[in-house]
Amino acid sequence: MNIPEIATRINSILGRNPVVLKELRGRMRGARAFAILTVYLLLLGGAVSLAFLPLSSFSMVAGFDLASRRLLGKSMFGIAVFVQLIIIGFVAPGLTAGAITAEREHQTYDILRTTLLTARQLVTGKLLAALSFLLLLLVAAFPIQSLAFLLGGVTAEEVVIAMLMLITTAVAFSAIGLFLSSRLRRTLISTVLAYSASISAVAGFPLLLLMLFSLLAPLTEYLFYGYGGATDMGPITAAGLIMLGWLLMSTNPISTAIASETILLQEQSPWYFSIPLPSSAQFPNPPDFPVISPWIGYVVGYLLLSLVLIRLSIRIVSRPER
Amino acid sequence: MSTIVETRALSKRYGQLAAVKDLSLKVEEGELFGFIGPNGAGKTSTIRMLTTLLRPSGGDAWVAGHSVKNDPRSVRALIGYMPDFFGVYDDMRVWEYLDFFAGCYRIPERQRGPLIDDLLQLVELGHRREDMADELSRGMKQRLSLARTLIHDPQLLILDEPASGLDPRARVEIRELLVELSRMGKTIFFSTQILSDVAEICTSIGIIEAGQMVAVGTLDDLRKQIAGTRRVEITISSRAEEVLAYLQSMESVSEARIAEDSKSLNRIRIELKFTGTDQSMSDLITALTQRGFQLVNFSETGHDLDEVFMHMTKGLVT
Repeated sequence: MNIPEIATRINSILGRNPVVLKELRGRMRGARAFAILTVYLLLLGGAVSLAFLPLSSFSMVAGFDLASRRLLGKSMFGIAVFVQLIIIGFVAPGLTAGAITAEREHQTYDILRTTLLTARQLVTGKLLAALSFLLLLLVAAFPIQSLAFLLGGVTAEEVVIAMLMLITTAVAFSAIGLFLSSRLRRTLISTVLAYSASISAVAGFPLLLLMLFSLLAPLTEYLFYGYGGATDMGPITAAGLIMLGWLLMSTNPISTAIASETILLQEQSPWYFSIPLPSSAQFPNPPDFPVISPWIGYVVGYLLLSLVLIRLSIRIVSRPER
Repeated sequence: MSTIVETRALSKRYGQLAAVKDLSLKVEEGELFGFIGPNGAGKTSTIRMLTTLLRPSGGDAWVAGHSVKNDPRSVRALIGYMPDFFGVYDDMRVWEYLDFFAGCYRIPERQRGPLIDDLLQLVELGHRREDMADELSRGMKQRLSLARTLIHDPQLLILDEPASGLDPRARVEIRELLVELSRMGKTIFFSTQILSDVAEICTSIGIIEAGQMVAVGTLDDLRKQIAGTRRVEITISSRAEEVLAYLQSMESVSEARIAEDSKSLNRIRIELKFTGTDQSMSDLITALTQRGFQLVNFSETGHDLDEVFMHMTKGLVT
């Protein structure tokens, strides 16, 4: 397929949903979209440059070997993804939290509902428009991200997992905003709530860690100190705590990314790892407890949540007033 | 002629409050129907039910035979709805606004260009095609909204107070557009609080008060329903006393007197209250001329729609 054909294809998809076209026209008009893009690239470029700085000093030092160069490449890539996760988490709710409420506030909502536009078209159109802008942000970051490839050390698995997580974050946080927007009357309230949700998911990381450590103190003790510790936890309690910890971790994009990367490095597996369980009188030889890598939980969980929220939004929008 | 809007026992309750009560109404195809009533009478609730936005609590309404309850999609394809506010996006050009709604009605892209140009021509906004929609004046926005309601060539236009909030000139322009559209074969159902709109352009009117239809029919029908309020003014050049005596002897004349401000000697105005039909009024004119009275003018005076309205309504608000 050549470029004109692709353009026609995209055009026909847009043509089928007038909302996407209208939203994109509105969004890309004026300086706002380009200002967001510029700030985003500056932040991302700045963060990666900070990681890149040591290279220029270390490379002069004798003993700067391949391994440390790879580590540097990895950390540059990691930082780029980290910054992207945060920015997407902050831009996405802002793009959709006003999607339906603004139609109400402009008093165009009633008009739209008397046309042949379906509730599904309206909701998915708003979502697709937001996602295409987020996709633009992701694609625009490719050149900066790929600086890391010059140094090496970044594996294909890492790139794929990072992309999946970024796309999931974009979809999920857009869907949360969209749902609040269709449920609530005012853009302001919807935006505040959407940001509260995204802040607690992204920046709630330190809080979550604190919770994790206090909740799982006995387990961490066991994990850190091994069998010599004072723990007399049974294998079933330990497995339960591991699952709880895994669940909490998988709700947060950053802890998910860090944990998945650690597992990838230590266990050489992108899919799962096993934790040995403590033995007890009842279970003298418990099997190792297999745990799926948290990114899978993150991607599957958030995409399912998005699907539910989108369906609910469609249902709310299609309901006639009573 | 077939019925395009019909409601039977249509009701809307908000909790304890009944906004519309057992409203039954018929509008025939091709009519310019004025739906008139005071604030809070239930006009907007009725319109929102007709446009499938609001679910009736009781009864049903049909547009060209399609129930608003059971077949809202078919109803939507047949109506063009203009709410009582502009509903214009702030980040769109005039043509993009129409293009977007054309898309909402699934009009193929290649047909949209000429269609939009024609509509802009019709509402006299052709020169503002590339301007941002929110920079238009109120009157222009209202005309743009009207163009939007026409984009899918609907049979029926449902307009909620199309003239409200406009300056007198814009109001006249909208009124002229409505007449033009009616001439083009559209049925128009519009609500208003302004009596003169209705009197000048409507083919039939419905008066609603406190959620109930008080009267439906043509203006003449309604006039006839209230007796003794046709005011007639006669100007004659002589024999005033004789004419007056003759008029007072007529059964269909309830009151006749020489107008107080009628001072000129060779032109005397007589005011009378007439209770008969159009036929008996015509007979009266013939009789007057046959008797050799020199008639200079014979006319029904004033907008007695105000009177009809005051007579029909009691000032109730739900």
